[in-house]
Amino acid sequence: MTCPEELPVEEEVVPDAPAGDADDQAAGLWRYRQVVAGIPGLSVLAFDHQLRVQIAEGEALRRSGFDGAGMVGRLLDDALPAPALNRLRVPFEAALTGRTSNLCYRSPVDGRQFRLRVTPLYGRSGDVVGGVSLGQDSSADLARMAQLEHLERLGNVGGGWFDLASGWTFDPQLLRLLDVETDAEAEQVCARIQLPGHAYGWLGFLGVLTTNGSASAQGSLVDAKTGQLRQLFGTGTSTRDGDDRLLHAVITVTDVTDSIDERERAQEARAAAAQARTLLIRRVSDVLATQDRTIPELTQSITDIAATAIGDGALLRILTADGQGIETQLISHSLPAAVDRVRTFVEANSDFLGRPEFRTPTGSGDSWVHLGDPGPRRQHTGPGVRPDTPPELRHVVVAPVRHIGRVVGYLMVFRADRDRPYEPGDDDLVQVLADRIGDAVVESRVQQVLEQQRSERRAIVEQLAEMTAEQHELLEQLADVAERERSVLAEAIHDDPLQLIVAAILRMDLLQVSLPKPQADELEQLAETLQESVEHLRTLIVALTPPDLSDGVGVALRELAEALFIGTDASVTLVETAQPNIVAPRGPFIYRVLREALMNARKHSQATAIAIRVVQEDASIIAMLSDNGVGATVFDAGPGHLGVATMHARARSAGGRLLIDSAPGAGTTVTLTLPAPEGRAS
Amino acid sequence: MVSPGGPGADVYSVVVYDHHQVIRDAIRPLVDDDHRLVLVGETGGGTTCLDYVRTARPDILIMAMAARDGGPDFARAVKLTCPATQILVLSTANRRRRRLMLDAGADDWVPKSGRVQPLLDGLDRAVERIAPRRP
Repeated sequence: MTCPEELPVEEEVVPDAPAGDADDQAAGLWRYRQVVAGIPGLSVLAFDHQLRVQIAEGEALRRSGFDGAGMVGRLLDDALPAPALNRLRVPFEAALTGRTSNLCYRSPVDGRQFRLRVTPLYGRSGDVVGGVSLGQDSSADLARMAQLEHLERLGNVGGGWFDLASGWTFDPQLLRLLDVETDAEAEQVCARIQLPGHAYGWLGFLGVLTTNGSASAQGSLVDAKTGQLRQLFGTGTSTRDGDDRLLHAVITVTDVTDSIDERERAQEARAAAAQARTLLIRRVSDVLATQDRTIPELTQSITDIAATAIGDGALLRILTADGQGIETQLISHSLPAAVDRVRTFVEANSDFLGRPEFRTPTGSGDSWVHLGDPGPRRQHTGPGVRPDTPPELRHVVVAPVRHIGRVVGYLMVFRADRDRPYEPGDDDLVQVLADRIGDAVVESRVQQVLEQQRSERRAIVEQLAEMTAEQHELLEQLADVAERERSVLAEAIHDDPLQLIVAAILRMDLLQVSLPKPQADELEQLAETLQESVEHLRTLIVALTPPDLSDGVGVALRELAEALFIGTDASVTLVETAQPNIVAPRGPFIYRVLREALMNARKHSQATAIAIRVVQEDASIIAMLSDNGVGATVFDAGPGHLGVATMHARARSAGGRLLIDSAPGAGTTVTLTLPAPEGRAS
Repeated sequence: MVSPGGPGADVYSVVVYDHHQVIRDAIRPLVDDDHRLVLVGETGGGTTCLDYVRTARPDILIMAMAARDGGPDFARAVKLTCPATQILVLSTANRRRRRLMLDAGADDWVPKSGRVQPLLDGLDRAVERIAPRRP
């Protein structure tokens, strides 16, 4: 039994009393709205004489996609779609003439079924000022009716009727159903039917079915022969008089035991399916939680899982970070040919995955469900199957791979089997998987960016270290070249001018003996002058000669200092606590830096005391040169005088640092700190 | 041993080893003017010098420390060849090098400043060390 479309099942004139005054009317409407708004499946629509909407409320309206508040003040012509208004215009206009209509109404928008009661609305004067339509979504009731019809067809069905003259009469089917032979026995068996939880269970099965009007009840009965519990479902239509005396009744009774078992089995199957989904999500979570897998491996795993668990196959497309291109596309299916066909199709129909809606016509057995972009899910009917659609895509669910409101890709599962369409819940499952993938993909992108930044930083640090090492090597090579040149120069000075002058002095000394005193004195002065130049040349030679570090850099520096300060009043002291063999690898380096400092001291300091310290503290070698000379504030002598700058550069290039501490009148201390050679630090 | 000095006077033979000819030329008149000394050889080469030492067995060897082959090893070789030869080092080297030379067998050192007096003093000290051993 169905409710025929737009056919008034009942039409009556109800002499409703007019409202007392406008306030009462407003208060009444307000209460009406409150009640209606709170009841699921109800809606209320009030309109005036011009069919202008006064009130539009209720969950049923919202569910049908209407914005109640937005409808108020608009003409129904404007507020309702034309097909809907065409069907409702007659009862609405009837209400304006004072008539109440009850009707069944199927929405042309979404196909839902409503029971509507349209009543006139009276003003203070008692005139009809408009109408009110109260609607109840009866789709669920209709579904139940359809189910009952189905059960009647499937199960054992019997009937009976009652009238005052004959009492109860049961048809043979019902007698057989109850396993009795007479009407009286049937009545007795009916009295044994249990109605647990039924509000009017105390009336008994027949009593419940014959309350005035339509009624239904389900009860259980222990089979007298087998002891099995049987489930019986009955419906009845009855008439009772003012004293509640049963005048007339017709009942139908169905044995629904098998159907209920069937339903329980279906419930079990649904529970098993739900459990399977939970397990699937668990599997995917486990895959995602695996630390040592790369993103390509993860996405491949998840696509494979989706293919085997929900699809016959699955396709995962990850978009590039800007959303414009395809970064990765994976297709998983047991048949390579199917993979190729699906790939060809989605490549030829570039908008297929991203379409907000698509569904094949009903009747073909195909179902394509495209879940919406980040907003609420939508299902729509679409233009139908494209001619190039491969058979694998008979049933399709596509879900956007989302991350915080952004679509980063698509996950599609598909099946070819006509008899295995996707079920409610599968779309949710696919969306859940897609979202998990979205999180993983975005997280991996963040990780990639971080990793890239890290490696860039590492590369810069390495490059810097390399450059420092190169600089160190260059400086040392330069120093070696300079050392060789110094050596050659020292030899040249020693071999030529020095020897010539020494020979000249010897000859002058010998000559003096044979000269008269004035000339001899003159010659002596000359010899002394030459001797002074010899000392200077010697100092130069010492400074130019490569150091002999066999007794440690401290000793070599002291000898250099002594040579440099020869002919001055300066004393040279050495404190060397570092083990020479530990310092040895750094010896030439320390020597070169402090030689520069010593030369500076000799040239500028006018010092009378020079102290050299080579000590080791923890992992550092510290070489210091102190003088008690005039000191200075500025050590940058300008272009062409690169001594101090070179000392600093050398120190840095060897991973050390150079500190020059000086003030006018307070002497100068040059401190070179170097890391001790690895593995030899104390 | 040739004794070119006057009768009754001891004469000491001298070899000069310095690879600078100008130095040898400057030292030669100094030796020639000293009646106690006689120059029996002068050379700028280490091998030749050792030949002189072996054949002439000089009383005194004036050697420049900076001369090629003029290090401690050379001093040791001279002493091995002729232990009696007094080695007088003309040195411009630092204290440590001088010490090495003395340890290797050199007997004395004189700064190679060019002044004659320190060299004469060094020769006197050499003669004083040799004289007591003369018969």
